[in-house]
Order: sequence, then structure tokens, then C-alpha cells
Amino acid sequence: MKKFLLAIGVIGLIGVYAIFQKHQQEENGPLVLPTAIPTSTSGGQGQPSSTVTPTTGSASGYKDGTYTGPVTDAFYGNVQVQVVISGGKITDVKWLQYPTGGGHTDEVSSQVMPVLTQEVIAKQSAAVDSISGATNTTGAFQQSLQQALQQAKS
Amino acid sequence: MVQDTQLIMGMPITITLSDVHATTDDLTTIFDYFQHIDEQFSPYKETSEVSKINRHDIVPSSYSPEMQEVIHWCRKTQEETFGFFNPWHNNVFDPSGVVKGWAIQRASDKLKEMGLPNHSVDAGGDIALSGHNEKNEDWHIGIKNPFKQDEIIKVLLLTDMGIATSGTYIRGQHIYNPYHPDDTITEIVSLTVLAQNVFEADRFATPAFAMGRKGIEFIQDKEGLEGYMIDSDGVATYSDGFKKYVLEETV
Repeated sequence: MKKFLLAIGVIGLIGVYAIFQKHQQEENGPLVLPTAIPTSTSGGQGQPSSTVTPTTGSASGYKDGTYTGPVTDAFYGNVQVQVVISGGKITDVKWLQYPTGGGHTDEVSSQVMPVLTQEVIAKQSAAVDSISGATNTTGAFQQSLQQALQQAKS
Repeated sequence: MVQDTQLIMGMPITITLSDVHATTDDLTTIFDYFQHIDEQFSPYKETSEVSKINRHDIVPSSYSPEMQEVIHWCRKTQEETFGFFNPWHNNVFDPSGVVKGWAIQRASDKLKEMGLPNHSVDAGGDIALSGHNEKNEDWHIGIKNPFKQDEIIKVLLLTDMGIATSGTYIRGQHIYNPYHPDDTITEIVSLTVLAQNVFEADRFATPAFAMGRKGIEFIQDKEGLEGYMIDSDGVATYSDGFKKYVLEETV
């Protein structure tokens, strides 16, 4: 379970939600990331999607290949992701559809994302030396937070 | 390793020295330096040079060398950000947006001159990283989740670099678009900038944030800068060179 949670850190919560939901529909089984998402039935909204055949397996439980999640209704719009597994690791996450706020969903096109890559943010659990964030000048709160974090490290 | 946090310039400043010969006296030297900067540049202190300038108590020819340097950078940054950085808003001179990163960088330079090349200087989440941490690794720096204060959403491995994050999420709308002052910036919530030093990262982070979604394109196009922008839907957009600093958590 923990391994799985770490894995989703890379993909982004919603991306996993999309795959995970689909996965549960398919197997209703233990929490292992998709072997492949079949192109057959689609529960609920959205279109089922195509899949590249997985090639090699690995110790991580991920098989190499490109996996496309179903179109999933996040509460602010539709989301669809494609995940590339290489060498047992997630090496790329592509957004085929993503919400733009206000309930709209854009098909991803060169007009929307010309160069820059996007991802849904996801919690990371690695230990850090410091944290970068916007300044809070009502200092007491942040000082207490920063000191608590320092204690948590030592 | 020696480390301490003090509240100066209205923000917590944490100095971490990982050289084995570093002492608490070294920390004191740097904290004293920040106090000195605060006395000189605070727009809130009556006795500061900035306040004297705003009261027209002193003429430009008698500005201190530090002030002249800061003003030079204010002008340059205003030009480079197409006016999104404006230290002369409503005829009040407030160079804070440049002073913070400038002071952090000077503190870092001072530590190097003191023979302490392995350190981090973190002032309110804008950080200079030099050399290595206590474990002799590159510094592990988290990016705060703008929606959840006790969470990080990215871990970066940095050495001899600077990082600065601008956002509206803690103080609300304290950053505005100078061309549309009444518009609130709601489409993006956080912009993190990486550069070869914290001064470069810091002086561009806030003006780029004020550009809204265009901010990440500005960072992308600007030589030597990398960025990670988070919008109000929790979707992040990052510049081409950003990913090489990201620590991939093991699967």
C-alpha cells in the first residue's frame, strides 16, 4: 500500500484517481497499478481508451508500456491521463484532457500547452532540509511551523 | 552542523552551516547582518534610509553605496519585468522586492568569505543553497503545497543555486498586476523560481507571479531561470529545464 502511495506521488492524485477508479472497476482486487487498461467496457462517463501492449515486467509491479486512463470526471472538469512506464518506473505523464477551471475541459492542443509540461500536484514524502513557499509576514505562525518542522527532522 | 532561526525583517530567517568548523558565532555574524539590512532598508522604520528617501531628508548624491546598488537593481528589474516590478508605486519608494533576495545572497557570499562554503540561508522560504548539506549531499528542498501548509509537493536537489516562491495563498492578495491593479490574481496560486543564485530567483518570482499564467512563459524565456507554477486547480506547469532538479521518489 505504501509503495503504491509513493508511486502516485509521481503521477499526481487525479491521474491515479482516473486509473485507479478504472482499475477497481476492472478487477476489484488488491492495490497494484494497472497491468493494462483494456479498451472494452467503460463504466460511467467518458470514453474507453487504447493501450500500448506492455513489454517487460519489473520488481516494482509496473510493467513497461504506455497506459491511458479513462476520461474521468474530476469535480471541476474532465481529466484524462496517459502514463509511460519504462524500466518499471513512471517516466512520463501526459495530459490528454485537463480542466481549466469553471467546469470547462480543454482538449489538449498545441494552443493550450505549446512547450511546457503539466502535472497535477501530489504530496511527496522525502525528507528535506528546507521548504520554499510564499512568505507569511504574520511571522509567528510561520516561525512556529518552521521550528516544528526542524524538530521533526532532528 | 549549526543552525538557528530568528525573526528579522518580519520573517523567519534560518541559517544552516554544515561545515564542521562552523560555530554559533558565525550564525550571529549573519543574523547581525540581516538586522543591519533591516535598519537600513525597512519601509516601516522611521530611521531607515528608505524612510529618509521617502521624506526627502536626503538627496540622491548622499545615498549609501548599498542604496545606490539596490536602486540600480530596482531599475534593472523594473525594465526586465516590463514594469511588473515597480518599487516606486504611488510615489512611495519600496525596494523590498529586490532587497530581500539581495540580502540573502550577500549573506551567502559573506559566509563563503568566512570560509563556510557549505550552507543554506532561508529567509521566509526564499533560500540560498551553497555547497552541500550535513550529509554531504546536494540540498533537499521541498516546495510547499499552496493548498496545504504542512505538505510538500516536490523535492528538489540543489547546490550553488537559489530558490524563491511567490504566492497569494498565505496573505491573500498581496500581489497585484500593476497594469490592472483592481484585478485579483486568482488563476495561479504559487510560482517557484530557480536560478544560479537566490537574488536572481527572488527578484523575478514576484513580478512573474503578477503576470498570472503568462508568468511561467516569462520564466521559460528568461535565460538562467527555471520555474514551477501551480494554478488554482492544483495543476502545475513547469519550464523545460526544471525537471532535472526534481528528486524522483522511488517506486
